[in-house]
Amino acid sequence: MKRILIADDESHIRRILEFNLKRAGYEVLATEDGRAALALALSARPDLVILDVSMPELTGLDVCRRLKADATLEATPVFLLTARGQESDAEAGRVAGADQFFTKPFSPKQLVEQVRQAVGEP
Amino acid sequence: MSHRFRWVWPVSIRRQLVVGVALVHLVLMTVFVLTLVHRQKTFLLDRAERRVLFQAELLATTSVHPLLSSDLAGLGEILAVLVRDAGDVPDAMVTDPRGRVVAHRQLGEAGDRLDDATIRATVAGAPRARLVARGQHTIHAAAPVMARGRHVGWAWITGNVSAERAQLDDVTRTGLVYTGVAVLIGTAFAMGLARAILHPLSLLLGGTEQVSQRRWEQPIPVTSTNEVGTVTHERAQFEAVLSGIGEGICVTDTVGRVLMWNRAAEQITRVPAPVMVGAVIPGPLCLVDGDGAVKDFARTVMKRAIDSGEAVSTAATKLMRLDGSVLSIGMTSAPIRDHAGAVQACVSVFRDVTRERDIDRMKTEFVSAVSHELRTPLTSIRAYAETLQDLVGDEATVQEFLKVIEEEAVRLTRLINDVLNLSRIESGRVRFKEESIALAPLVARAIQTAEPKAAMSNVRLATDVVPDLPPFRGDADGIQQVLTNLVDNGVKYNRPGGRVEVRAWLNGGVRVEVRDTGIGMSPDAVRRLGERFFRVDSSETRRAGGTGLGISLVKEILQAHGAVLEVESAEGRGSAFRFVLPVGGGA
Repeated sequence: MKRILIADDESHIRRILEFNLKRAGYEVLATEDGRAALALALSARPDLVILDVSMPELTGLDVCRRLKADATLEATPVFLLTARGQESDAEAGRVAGADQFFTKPFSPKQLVEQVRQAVGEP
Repeated sequence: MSHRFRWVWPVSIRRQLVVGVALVHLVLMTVFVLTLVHRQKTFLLDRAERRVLFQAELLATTSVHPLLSSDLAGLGEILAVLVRDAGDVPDAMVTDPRGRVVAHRQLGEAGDRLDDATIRATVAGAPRARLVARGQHTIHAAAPVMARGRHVGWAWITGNVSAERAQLDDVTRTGLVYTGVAVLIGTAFAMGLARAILHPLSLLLGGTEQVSQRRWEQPIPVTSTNEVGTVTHERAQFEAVLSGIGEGICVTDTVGRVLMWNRAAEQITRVPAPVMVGAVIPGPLCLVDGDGAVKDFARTVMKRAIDSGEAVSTAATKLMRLDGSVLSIGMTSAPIRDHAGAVQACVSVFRDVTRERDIDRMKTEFVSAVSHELRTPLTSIRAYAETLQDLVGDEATVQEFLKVIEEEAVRLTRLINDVLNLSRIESGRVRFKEESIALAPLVARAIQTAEPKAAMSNVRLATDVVPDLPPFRGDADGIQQVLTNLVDNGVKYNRPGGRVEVRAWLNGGVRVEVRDTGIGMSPDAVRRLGERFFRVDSSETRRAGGTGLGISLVKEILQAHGAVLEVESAEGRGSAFRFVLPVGGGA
């Protein structure tokens, strides 16, 4: 089963993403801060990582950069979620190596669709 | 006064006054003295002539008897009495009618005797008393000697006019002396007058000619109470106003040399006038605008004002003082033209807008933070509403209501985005690029974005962009937003079966028109278009779900491109929005 890692400090958003992805048939790991996300990513080896940009401890951008710097994880797709949706954020996301960039509020349906395209059926 | 006479006629008022008054005195007095001398001469000579004539007639009368009786001794005695000692008759004689001398008396060797030609000419004429000749110092008169109607001889008198001549010389001399004195007094008066006028004037000139070098804190001394004093007073008031204005004033010539630097300018920049005046902008000022440090005059607003011939404003210049403090400067520069209309200088008014900029920045940051905070709950609302629609099955009402929740969340998101964008553009934090951009792809993308909504509302989308349209100069993202907003509006405020067309062609720039066959607007609505949150109020527009900020954004973005949004609309028939983008070369 394909494993997705979600990191967002907003519990409601974590919950609805988790719900939608699980419903689509994926295995979901969820955490609320960047540092935990990084640790989980290294230990659980997810097939795709969804990161909120603004998180305590480590920002989504930092986590993304570190994941992309890791030889064993650099191929893992990373989706970033941001509440700002400004060009500078999108640019920073690209620089950090993110594969997709979603501006809040996004459509969970579309997100799941993108996940499906990136990692295939569960 | 033409240039040809400049070297003769002095330029300075002082010299004009002195030379003028002296010349007038000289001419008038000379004319006066000449007239006086002439009249005096006429008067004196008349008198002398009458005297000599009278003496000749007297001699003629007294000579009748001695002449008839050939009493030569008596005749000699008469002549002797005449010539004796008065000295005014140096020569007297009696002749027969043909001019032969009968008796003659002469005082010493003096007196110029009559020449024979004059005597002959006289005796040939009618026997009548008359003047026969005039010499330098003498007058000659002759009178016929008549005895009972018979002409028996001539009496000749030579009168001396030396005394009269001396008197005349005296008058002339006196006149000349008076002329000299008048010229001297007149010149002295003119010089005094010149000084009285020009001293305060020269103080004033000292003030105006070196308006910038003189310390403005030291007002012009107003000493005189006459007309010049009034002018000086007004000038002083004018300067007091200029120096007292709370905004910094800087006047430069066309190459950026500072001509004037007022007190507020000193206070704002902390650079005193003596340092700034004569220096070329930026001189000792440390200026930084959006593109980095301003190192030469060509980069300044002033230069732009001089080149364009129009007033130019900027709000984005920073100034670093010597003490390290940094200010934001808001400045407006305007060209100063001479009477022929040529730009010869530039006046700039500037002030410290640091506080306003700070407040503005805080406002923008606040808006940004609020928008950010609003997005998180919105994300939840949208995500949960959308997910719920998958869960509730075919319950139509629930589906409908959940759809409303989701759509309103999306609309709220758009509103937040618009507010945020507008706030950033207004605060000048969005820097529009100046690139060479092809319009056609932007139009295509705007159409593509509007396509789903258009299909849903049964509105046709069309484009008519002239091929080979040159690229325009501006910001791709900005113009993309303009086109997207206008096309979106066209679709939103349309009717089923309507159409929205984007046209672009070349006419004084890249001219763009977005025309719809929608509901249109009343003239009042056209006027109010672009007011924040203004929407044409009707059930149709409410249904359309706009934010009321779309056109404001369009206007702001176009303004940043130096373009103006023109709106033409007819209620019930549709609207057309037009603007012209500058055609740009380069990259």
